[in-house]
Amino acid sequence: MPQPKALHRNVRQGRKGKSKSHHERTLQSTRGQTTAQKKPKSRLSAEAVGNRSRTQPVGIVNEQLTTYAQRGVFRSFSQTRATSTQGEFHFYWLWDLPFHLSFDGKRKALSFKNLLPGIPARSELNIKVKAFIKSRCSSDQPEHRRLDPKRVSVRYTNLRGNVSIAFLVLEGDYEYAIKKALNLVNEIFVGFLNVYFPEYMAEHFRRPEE
Amino acid sequence: MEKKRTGEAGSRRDFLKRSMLTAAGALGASKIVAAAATEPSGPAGPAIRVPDAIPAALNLPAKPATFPMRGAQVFAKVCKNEGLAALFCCPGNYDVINSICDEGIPCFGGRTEGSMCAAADGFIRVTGEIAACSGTEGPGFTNMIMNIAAAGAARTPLLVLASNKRVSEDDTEMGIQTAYQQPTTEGMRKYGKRLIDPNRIYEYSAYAFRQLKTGIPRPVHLDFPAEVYGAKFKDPSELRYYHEGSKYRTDAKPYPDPKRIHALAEMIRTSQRPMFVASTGVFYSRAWDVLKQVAEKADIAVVESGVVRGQFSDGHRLSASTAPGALMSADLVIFVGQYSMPNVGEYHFSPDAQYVRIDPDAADIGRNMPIDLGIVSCEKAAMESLLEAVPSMRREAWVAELAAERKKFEDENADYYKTGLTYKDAVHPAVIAQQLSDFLYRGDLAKEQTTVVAGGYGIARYTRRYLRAYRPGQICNGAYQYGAIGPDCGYSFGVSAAVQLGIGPQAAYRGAPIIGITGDAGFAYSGMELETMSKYRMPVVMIVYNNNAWGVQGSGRAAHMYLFHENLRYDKMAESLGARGEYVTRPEEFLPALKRSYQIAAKEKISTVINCQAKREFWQKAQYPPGFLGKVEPGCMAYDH
Repeated sequence: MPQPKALHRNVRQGRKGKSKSHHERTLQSTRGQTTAQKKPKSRLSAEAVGNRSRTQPVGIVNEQLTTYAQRGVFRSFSQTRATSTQGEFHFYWLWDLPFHLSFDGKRKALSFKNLLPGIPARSELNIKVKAFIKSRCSSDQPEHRRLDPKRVSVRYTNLRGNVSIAFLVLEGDYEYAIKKALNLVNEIFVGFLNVYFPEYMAEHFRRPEE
Repeated sequence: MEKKRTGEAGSRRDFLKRSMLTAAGALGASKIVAAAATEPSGPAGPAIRVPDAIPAALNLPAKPATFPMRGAQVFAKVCKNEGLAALFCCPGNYDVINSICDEGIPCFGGRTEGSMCAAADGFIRVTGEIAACSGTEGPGFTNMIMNIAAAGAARTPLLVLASNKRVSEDDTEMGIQTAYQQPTTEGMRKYGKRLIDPNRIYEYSAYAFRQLKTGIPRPVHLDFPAEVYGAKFKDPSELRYYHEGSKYRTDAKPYPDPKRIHALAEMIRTSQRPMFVASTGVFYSRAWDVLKQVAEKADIAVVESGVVRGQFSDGHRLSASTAPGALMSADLVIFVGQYSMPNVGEYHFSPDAQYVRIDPDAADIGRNMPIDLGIVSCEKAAMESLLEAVPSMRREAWVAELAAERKKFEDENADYYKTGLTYKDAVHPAVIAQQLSDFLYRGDLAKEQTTVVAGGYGIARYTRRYLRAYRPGQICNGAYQYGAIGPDCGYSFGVSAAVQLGIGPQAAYRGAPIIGITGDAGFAYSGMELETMSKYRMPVVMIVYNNNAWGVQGSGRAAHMYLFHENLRYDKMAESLGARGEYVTRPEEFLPALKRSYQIAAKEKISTVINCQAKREFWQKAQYPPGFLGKVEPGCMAYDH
């Protein structure tokens, strides 16, 4: 993040409004109708991705992220690389921005590489983003908002002003890790940068200051 | 200045007469108006005064039309029968506006059609009633365009009227003011029609009110060629489709599917932290009481969004409107009457939250935000059904989290205020916002009393955080969705008219002063309406945040295009227009100026501009923390959706 938009434009269609929720499906089935759930478009074949054992970490990650896409939270979701231990995922999410999530099964790490550009290492913003992330792991947070450091460890790196955030899965609970990773990124963008650093969002993500 | 409220009934004419005579004592109304106005400094000249002809005209009785009638009178009769609450206009479309006035509908004449259009919009936003604006064909009509678009984005049931050239003159450019109106409002309106056949004027009046009073509200635009408004009708037989209102529209509302209500009740039961987003449709369907009952029954948090605030009191233990930090905790979000839908990321909710949308329009459910359940229904009907279906539940941890997040927000605001007070050479927006808030809600006034137009751009990033709504229609959200900063004085005039007349939720606060907030950029678009406020003796305290610049700042060679003169005297401008002016240049001067202005507004019905001298550098975080503020939506800061 940010990824060149051109990389994804070929798959930016077909998902909007197609999936129905559990509740919508339940209601439809009570009327004798069924709704076939379409799988999101993938840039890899079903053989390469879809049949992978769901017990394998990369399969769990794929399945969890697919659920967000089916719910309409992500748009244009695709897995662009798949091995037995690694996966690359692309999707459009907050304000229709492109996101890139990597999974490395050997390291047990979910990574948003170059998630935040233009943050000099010695800047106030760098300090505050780090502090915000740390605060999300604090026991002051309500349990449902807290990122448990015993289950997931957050790694913050700033290389030449590009901030990457990795989530190391400590107890093998990948579902928990994905959920917390996405919630943390959501809070960084929506609840932190957008509120306290609107000028940064305007400059680097073309969010209107107005 | 009294906590006691007034609830007298009566017409605008009665009100004006009463207010003028109260102040006048034994003197004539026009004389006291002249005496009360602040005279501008400078060479002596004739005093600014309201001519005798104005109160004289306002004291004339209504003169409802009877057959034989002209087309304009037929239309005005429908407006009267349908309860049109007010007309805001400039001259032009003469037959129509005069006929509406003769029917006894409260009418107001201002300085620009655009501001009068905004006034009608503001009036509707805080009353929920239908109001109209009008202008002449061509220039008058096109002057309204920005504010018609703003009303369209705000989903306001605004009746836009304009005269037009004769049909027989189409395409000829004969005379002046040729304009093709209907294509111009395309995309801004719900329904529009150029009336062609005089005999169908009653029928199309019915079309207009059917559209205004059903479904999702938006503006309706009618234009009247001379053949139509001037047509003569001896009796009803000359009008096609002439029948009473119950035959051409229905008051029936869409009711929810019981299965879906039960599905929602089950989702609420299994949720740990449910939250309603109570938006524009809650206000227009007057669903606020039953919404409160549902929320209290199952301990569901409520956060507001939309054009108007107060559907759910900020003082309620379940309110999340001033608890932005709690939004991400909601695991079930129920949109009720959210007509302008946000996209993913625009509202501060978790990616794991489930979404339910209750809306009268099935075609809009699922747009932008993914839904887990959709319910097609009138908002009030849905809440009534849900009240039966939802289980009684207590969620102490959730309620405690809401309270903690409200406190965190208040603490943050208090910190901004402390910082703002340290800037001594100009008035920081946090000082204006906190002291205004203290005055309105923590002083001598009943906290529910004062209706506020929350306008402006940068200043609004502060004031919205400190303004509170404790009852329906208490805050008109100025720049909602369309983002027009110019109409604020127009909105303020319309809101003031609504409060003076005591319409809808404003009835209990009839006659009270109102507060308007705008910036120096916005003031330029509608500041002339201070004259209109003075003319009608509207008690408006207009706070102008003057930072010598547009809200967005330029740099380098382009910088000059973003800047104004420094230290402009908008207070003097107000004085020149028959209102009062206060000039505030230091933090300690603001509150005394506000108190003076409010007292004079309450006692003498005189408007004031408080020109708050700030500086554009206040938006620079490094130089003047906290600088320009971001915002959280939904809740008290929201105006995008």
